[in-house]
Amino acid sequence: MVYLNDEEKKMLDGNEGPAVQRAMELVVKMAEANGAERMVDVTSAHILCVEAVDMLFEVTSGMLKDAEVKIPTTTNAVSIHSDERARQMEIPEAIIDAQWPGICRLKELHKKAGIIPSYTCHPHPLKELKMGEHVAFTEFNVVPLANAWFGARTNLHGQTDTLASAITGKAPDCGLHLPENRWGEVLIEVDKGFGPEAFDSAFYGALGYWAGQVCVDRIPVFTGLPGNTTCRAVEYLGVGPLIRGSVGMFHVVGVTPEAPTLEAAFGGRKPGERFTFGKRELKTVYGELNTAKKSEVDMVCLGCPHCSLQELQAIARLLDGKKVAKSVRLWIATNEINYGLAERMGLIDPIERAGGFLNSSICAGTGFLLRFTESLGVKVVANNGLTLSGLVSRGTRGKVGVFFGNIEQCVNAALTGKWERG
Amino acid sequence: MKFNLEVHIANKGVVEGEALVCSKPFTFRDVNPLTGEVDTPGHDLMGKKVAGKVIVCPCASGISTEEFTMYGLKKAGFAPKAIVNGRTAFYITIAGAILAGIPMVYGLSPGCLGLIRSGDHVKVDGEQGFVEVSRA
Repeated sequence: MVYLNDEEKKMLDGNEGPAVQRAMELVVKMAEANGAERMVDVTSAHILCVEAVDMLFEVTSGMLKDAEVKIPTTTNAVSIHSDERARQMEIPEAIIDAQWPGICRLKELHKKAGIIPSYTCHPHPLKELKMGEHVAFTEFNVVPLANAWFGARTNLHGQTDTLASAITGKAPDCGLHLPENRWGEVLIEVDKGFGPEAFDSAFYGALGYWAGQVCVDRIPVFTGLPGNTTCRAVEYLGVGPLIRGSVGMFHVVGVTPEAPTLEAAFGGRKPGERFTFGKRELKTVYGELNTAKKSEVDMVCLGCPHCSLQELQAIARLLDGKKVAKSVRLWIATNEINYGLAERMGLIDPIERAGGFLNSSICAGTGFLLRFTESLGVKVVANNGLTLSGLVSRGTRGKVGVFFGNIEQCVNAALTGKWERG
Repeated sequence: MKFNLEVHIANKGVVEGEALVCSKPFTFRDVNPLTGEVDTPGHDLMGKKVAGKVIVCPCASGISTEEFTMYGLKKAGFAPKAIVNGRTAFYITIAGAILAGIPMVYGLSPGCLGLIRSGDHVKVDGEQGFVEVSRA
């Protein structure tokens, strides 16, 4: 049985009203399911708002009925940010009709409950996380970055129990909340044969993908990566272990805060297994991810995860004075903060003059993937995100082909209508 | 032949059914929501229906919407009777099992998990914490 303190007992007994009681009941259920002995106080939450809009609304409204969140709670990207914009992007009316009213209703729910309408898979600038801080996040990009880069502690929560944590400020003390469950288990040595130019976003994505395959539910520890590996690179790296396996935590020795040394990363224990990631492995991963048979590309999506300002600068520079090929749709996604700054920095004009769409708050992929691609007649999507690649190939059961690469490769494909195989 | 395996309970409930074993991490995203069949090319269970079966797999995986995928399958009548996992249970799958009301247990070593074969009759006791496997 999970230990509850007086405050938690009161919530469970209904002293704070039925909404808090309902939420606490779920937190306790999750605690029991995970064998947690106690609760932790969580300081921040992150919830979903894309896909399965009707079900999402049903579940979210059930949990948020007469409730307010106790802790800062941000929201993930949406599928459509404005119906007008969706029409400009030639998203079919049927899809707008199916998605937009639900999204509006969800937004109302969020407003009533005091949820921050961030609509992004990169909410970290709003979070100001510190090492060891307990939080309750969901989503494939948000969770690994919070754990690995910031040293904050969260499991990959679901929607219902994240909402419950947001309403109660509590989460079960289990999994990645416990220090002993955060140590590395498998050593992945990056081969020394890679030159400094090799370490682009696609490399980190591919490495993470491969690590997820070999580690499954064990925490990877990476060595051999440059000491100046950035937050953004770690963000690309973190998706694979979750999408191919089921781990929302990893270490990069000399880079991430819980891995100052190899020994620290493994908590003084020996690696359970060790692997080397070299050029052959990289090639295999690209082979698996690039499912498109022909080199013609008809859609290019950037912003999985949501583009950083530096990435938007790079895209604007690459597109400046050029035209996206007639046969290609170029969709770029970022969050509201970066969108506003990009506007002031004059980055939107060159992108839109070239024929691309820069959107704030929408998911680079999810929103349109499962429903839009086929109705848009898209056969091949080029993109920079593992989540997106996986969603396209898996979501469409291989009917839509994928090219996975860095931003430069993707923009090039948008301009020429063709993917240049590396 | 008949044997019992001890398990942790992720979501309560007692059910019986035919085992459907997947050797890799399993996500309900690979199940077609309109037919209840696994329809991802190259999948261990390609073409198999999960409805009414007991899914046995080393661990679950999936994306953050796994919970809704499971809830949707339940609403459409395509949900499995129960889920049996190996060493770990994926947090989000537990949330999905609770939301969809699917009994779920875990905590089996690879050796124990390997004792269960597709087609075995499995009783999942998510009250007492054991799985009873019988094979003709």
